[in-house]
Amino acid sequence: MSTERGRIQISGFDTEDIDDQDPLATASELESKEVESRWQKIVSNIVRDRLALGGFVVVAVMGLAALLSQSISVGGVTIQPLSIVPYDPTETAVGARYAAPSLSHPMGTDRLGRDLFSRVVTGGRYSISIGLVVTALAATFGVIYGSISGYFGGRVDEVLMRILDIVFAFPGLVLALILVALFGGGFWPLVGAFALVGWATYARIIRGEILKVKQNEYVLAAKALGARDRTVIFRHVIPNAIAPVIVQATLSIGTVVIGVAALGFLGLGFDPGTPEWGTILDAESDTLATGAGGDWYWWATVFPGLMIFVFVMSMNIIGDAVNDALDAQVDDIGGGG
Amino acid sequence: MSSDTEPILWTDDLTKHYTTEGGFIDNLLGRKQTVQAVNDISLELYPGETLGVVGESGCGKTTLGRALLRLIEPTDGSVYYRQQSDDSPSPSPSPSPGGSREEIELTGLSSSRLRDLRTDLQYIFQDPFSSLNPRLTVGDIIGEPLDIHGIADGEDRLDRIHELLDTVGLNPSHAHRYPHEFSGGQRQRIGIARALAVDPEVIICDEPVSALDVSVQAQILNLLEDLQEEFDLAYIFIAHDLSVVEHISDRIAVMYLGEFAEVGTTEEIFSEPHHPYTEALLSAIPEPDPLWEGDQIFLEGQVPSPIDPPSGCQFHTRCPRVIPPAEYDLEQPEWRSLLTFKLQVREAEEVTQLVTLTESDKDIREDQSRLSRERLDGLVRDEFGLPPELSDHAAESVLSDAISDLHERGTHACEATLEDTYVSPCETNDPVYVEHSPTHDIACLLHGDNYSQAAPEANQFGEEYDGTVVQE
Repeated sequence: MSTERGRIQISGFDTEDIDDQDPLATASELESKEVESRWQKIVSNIVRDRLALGGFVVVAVMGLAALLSQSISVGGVTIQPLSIVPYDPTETAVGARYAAPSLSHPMGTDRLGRDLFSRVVTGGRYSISIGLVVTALAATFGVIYGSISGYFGGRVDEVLMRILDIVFAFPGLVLALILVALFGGGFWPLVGAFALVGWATYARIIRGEILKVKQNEYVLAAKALGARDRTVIFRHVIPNAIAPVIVQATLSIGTVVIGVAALGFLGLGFDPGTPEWGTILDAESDTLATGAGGDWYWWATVFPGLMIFVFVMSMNIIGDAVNDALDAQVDDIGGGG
Repeated sequence: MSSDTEPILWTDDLTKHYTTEGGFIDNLLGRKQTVQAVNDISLELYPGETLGVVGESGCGKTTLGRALLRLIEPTDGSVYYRQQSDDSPSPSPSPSPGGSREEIELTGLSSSRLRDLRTDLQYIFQDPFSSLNPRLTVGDIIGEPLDIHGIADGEDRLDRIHELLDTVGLNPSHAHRYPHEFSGGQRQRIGIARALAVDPEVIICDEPVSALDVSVQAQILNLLEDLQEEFDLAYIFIAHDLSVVEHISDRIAVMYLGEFAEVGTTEEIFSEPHHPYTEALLSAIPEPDPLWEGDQIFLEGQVPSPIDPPSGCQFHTRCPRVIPPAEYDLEQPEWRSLLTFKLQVREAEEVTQLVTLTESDKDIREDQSRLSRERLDGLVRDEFGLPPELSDHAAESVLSDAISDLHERGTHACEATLEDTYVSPCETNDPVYVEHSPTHDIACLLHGDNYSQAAPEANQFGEEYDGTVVQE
């Protein structure tokens, strides 16, 4: 027994053996699987999930049909020459008044003899494009706002979040209603009204994520390298915090479409003759239960309503699939090792 | 390797206090607490040397490292860096005294100047898993400093990235891979390559190996040593593992509760004389010899909270060699136990918090008045390892008075009795650095002139390691 240290020397800690080892001979050397990027992951998840694939096909078909329904020209130059719908959606008396669905009018005609099929297909233009534009605007602004709030923290965060609370305190649809009533209907006022209330959700979501992400040492590492705050936020923080925003954005396209339809049904938003789904519903609302003279012109409201329903449900299914794809994020961060 | 040249990086009373952020109401009422993470640290780092910083978890090592680079803003004090001037002929720091180097105070530097200096001062992080952005390829991670400082772009950038990967022992063809495809050791190499990209002079290594396997630790340590030789780097190497620090350091600073307890060359730290804290740390290094019977010093109690650090010498609450007051003639272990008793009484609200009640004392737990004076005396002496009678009569009478107070009037009365009578010089006097050699400083009253005779027996068992709390 001895109290003296160092009678046994441990070799291998500072010998040449270590140098002789091939430092690269570690597990991951063998695995050469390509990394799946976030978008590849979403796509592969949607393809694998049959329901989501169905939803995606529905949305794609509706979007494409709306796009091709009539020719589009910007400033006199035609950029989309096709026009696949059989009749001009705004032209009256192309058939009898309230003609039942038939081969020439697959969805029947409305009270002014307009072809409902043409109106419903073209109507997708308004609803879908508003959904996309509003989501893009709201998400962009919300992400930047929330990122600044979460990243800088402290007093900045305090002030920005209280402003957010005020926005949240307004009932969204009522605020949109007031704005439309003040500034009149039409495409851009509607976009403005929905974006104005929509961004707050994104801001709050991304702020929470950023509070988590900014704890990571790579954020400090970027600062230690001399990166500016702007670079740190856009290169290191947001890409790692954006996943729940993508999910929320996908889901909210459907919500915005419903909101636009609801405003249309309330008689706000577009001019009464516009072939927008909610506006069509509003115009034909008296046929919802019983028609004039005991006839029930069900097709006048069922088809536009069905379009709203199918579109929003498809978007929600896609949103769920995106959520599933991004939820598995843990597999790709901090894994291996 | 510490030569007699000028230091490249040094601090002057560097201090970092955190204020706990309460809610709005707390702030309004001024209920703030200050965590004294780093207190008046003065250190010097010479070109090409490695300064190891060791200490327990939570003693402020990482805060010190980050405050040095102003990754967190120091509360007080200054950090100076001697920058290579442009007119200097070669990038290797020629040890010409004065002359080609320019002295810069990092604290108070504008953020753009500081950004330029990031090319000279770099940082390696502890956790190789969270220090690499999972969404960037390895090439982009290493290339980032090149982009930020405009060092290289296009083909040059790619060449530099490959060269850096090669330098740290990784395959350059892996530049397009993502961090999660690498092992912990490989990731740490990526972190090192990122720090090297700007061709720094000083690298602060914040526990770079503590998250790695022991065999991989050795690889990384050897890599760091090779790089130091190749690029003439100066390291501040933060660790809690003394054997790791011994392996790599030229000088070592032992840190306790935000202050340096002892600073010296590696040989000086590992040989006598020691700061009592260093002594305890050294005794905790595992020994592979199964026949080894060295005594391990177990420090009692918890690390005190840096919110309200102990007065005087911060280590006095746990120091096995705490100095007894001159008026009593007490054995060292007795005195340690008495002081521990006093400190615990100060914290306690009830008698039951001080002593361990056994199964048979159930009735006492329910009704404390049934605890007899003799029983309490026995329990207290058992709990704190005090003998039935202290070797000093005056001390013994104070102790039995205190136990009577504890029995009759509770902990606060007992505290009052103990507070003024048992006072160690360590509680009242701030230790100053005592210079044992030009490179070796110890902050301990035992090493000063005033008290070195006060505890001769303490010095004595420094040689033999007995009398302290010993593993059985």
